[in-house]
Amino acid sequence: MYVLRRLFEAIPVIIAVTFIVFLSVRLIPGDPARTIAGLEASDATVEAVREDLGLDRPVLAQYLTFMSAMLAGDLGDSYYYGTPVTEEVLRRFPATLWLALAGLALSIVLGVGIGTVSAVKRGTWLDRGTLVFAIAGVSMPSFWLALVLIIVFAVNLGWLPAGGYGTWRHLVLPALTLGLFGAGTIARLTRSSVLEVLRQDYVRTAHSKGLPFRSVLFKHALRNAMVPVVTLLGLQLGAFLSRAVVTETVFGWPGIARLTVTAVLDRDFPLIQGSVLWLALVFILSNLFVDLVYAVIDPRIRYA
Amino acid sequence: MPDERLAPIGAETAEVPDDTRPWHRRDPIVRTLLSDPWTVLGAAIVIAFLAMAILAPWLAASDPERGNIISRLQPPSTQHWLGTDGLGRDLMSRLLYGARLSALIGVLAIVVSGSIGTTLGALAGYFEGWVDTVVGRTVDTLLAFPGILLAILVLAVLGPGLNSVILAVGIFGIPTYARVVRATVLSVKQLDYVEAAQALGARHLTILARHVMRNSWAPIIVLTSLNFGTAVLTASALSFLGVGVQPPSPEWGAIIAEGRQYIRVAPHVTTITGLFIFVTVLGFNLLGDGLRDATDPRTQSR
Repeated sequence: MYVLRRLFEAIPVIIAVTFIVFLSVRLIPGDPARTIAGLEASDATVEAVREDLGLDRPVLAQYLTFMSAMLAGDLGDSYYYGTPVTEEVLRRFPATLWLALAGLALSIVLGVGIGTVSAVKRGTWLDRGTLVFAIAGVSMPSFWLALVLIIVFAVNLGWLPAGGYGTWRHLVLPALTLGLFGAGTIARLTRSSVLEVLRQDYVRTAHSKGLPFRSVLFKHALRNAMVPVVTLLGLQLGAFLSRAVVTETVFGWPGIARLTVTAVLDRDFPLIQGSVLWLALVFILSNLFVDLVYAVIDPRIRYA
Repeated sequence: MPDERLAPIGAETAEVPDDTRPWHRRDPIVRTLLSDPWTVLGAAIVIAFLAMAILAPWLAASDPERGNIISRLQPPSTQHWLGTDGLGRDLMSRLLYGARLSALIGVLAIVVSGSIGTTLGALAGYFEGWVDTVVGRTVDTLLAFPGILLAILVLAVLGPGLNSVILAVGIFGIPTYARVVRATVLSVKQLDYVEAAQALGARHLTILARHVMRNSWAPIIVLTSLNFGTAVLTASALSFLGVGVQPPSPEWGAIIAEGRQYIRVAPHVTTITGLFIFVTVLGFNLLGDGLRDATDPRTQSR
């Protein structure tokens, strides 16, 4: 039931997003009909192209046509590449997915690890260092971090490639750029969440049963401490994708985020429309997924 | 002459001891702020940043957009404290004028997102019902665009440039204001004096403006500090991507985008400029965190 309700709630947002993207792209100055017909074309030819594209019809009618085509998976052809937008977007998406998953995994492992250690060693220099690391992580421009990593590891040490795509060696620096950013915030929240849980009665009970600290921490405390961390991951997905846009650009990573930026620079309207829509849709669905994971970890949510 | 019967009991006898402490020791919030070294550091960075922005024309050694091509890509020296860039322009001068641009973008973007977001959030929180639903859905839709993508879409429509960046970064910040203000207004609204004002028959907008908002300023100020940092970061990222403020303008992100091609021979251009962005954003975040801890009743006692 909960799953259905959340799915149902996402529908109006998705419709609103498609409408905003559709309208924005039509607000972009310039006449696509003239662009396609060419500068030399006569007014009659431009008019014919306009009719051909359906641009002479009312906006709402155009939107409905656009929506029905979109539901059939047709987002038009890219001006720049000449290929269908859907094809281009799907071709680029796996690269972004790989980068995002690698970055996310790195930030969870680093963040939860550092956060837990810092909660257990509360008040030590390590704990204070975690707080500084967290705030530094969110303040750092990712394009700068990426360039510094390139200068150190690619230019000076020559250990890793400065950009490109293909092997795991190409993945290391981009994933690190993304991962370090996420790790700080996750570490900070894990720390406070673990501290909170360690104060609970059932943890004291587990201690007094004579369980070793290690199993109390891992079996009892950590699972419950993860509930707010999962929420944070959901809230952070947007910021994460922001950083992915920049990261892909610095490393020449052939993902969809970079595709969107080049589409804006090339004024490739169908491609802007398609890639922004796709990213927004992926984002809405991942948020939904996080909510569902949340409900699995903490059964109380489902009945709220 | 005030009616003596209305004076609080004991008022005529109680002696208020002369508080001889200076003002910054008396105010509990200011005292908390000054006792935390990180907050003080943050405030110092913010003041230094604003001083750079305001005093740029007097501090800069040379024109930020004019250079001598013969002295290009020089490392830091006594003549050029932070070296020169690919066109021989003095990096220090460019960074000073860049601070001016970042401050301008930050202030105006905050005006855009703060005014729209606060109004939406206040109305949603105070009236609830259908107003809340409409505002909530609008905010949800804005938030459905992951991160910087909304700003990129706005820039795609408006084209690059300083004004577009201000508007894009401003729109980007609306949801956070709307959410925080809504939550604050929802809780302040429950307080007795608001109910008293309602019972006295005051008009809703009067209550909202005079009684509710005046007691909701703390989270708004905290958010403004944090959002200022985000605005500086977002604006520089947009310019770095090439969709924001364009070269030769000395916007920090644009400087890094230009300096990127020289990272092998002159890494100082990108590293130093990035350090300025990093430290500035860090300052606003430290200050915002400190303000939050000092004004949040849950953390005050610690």
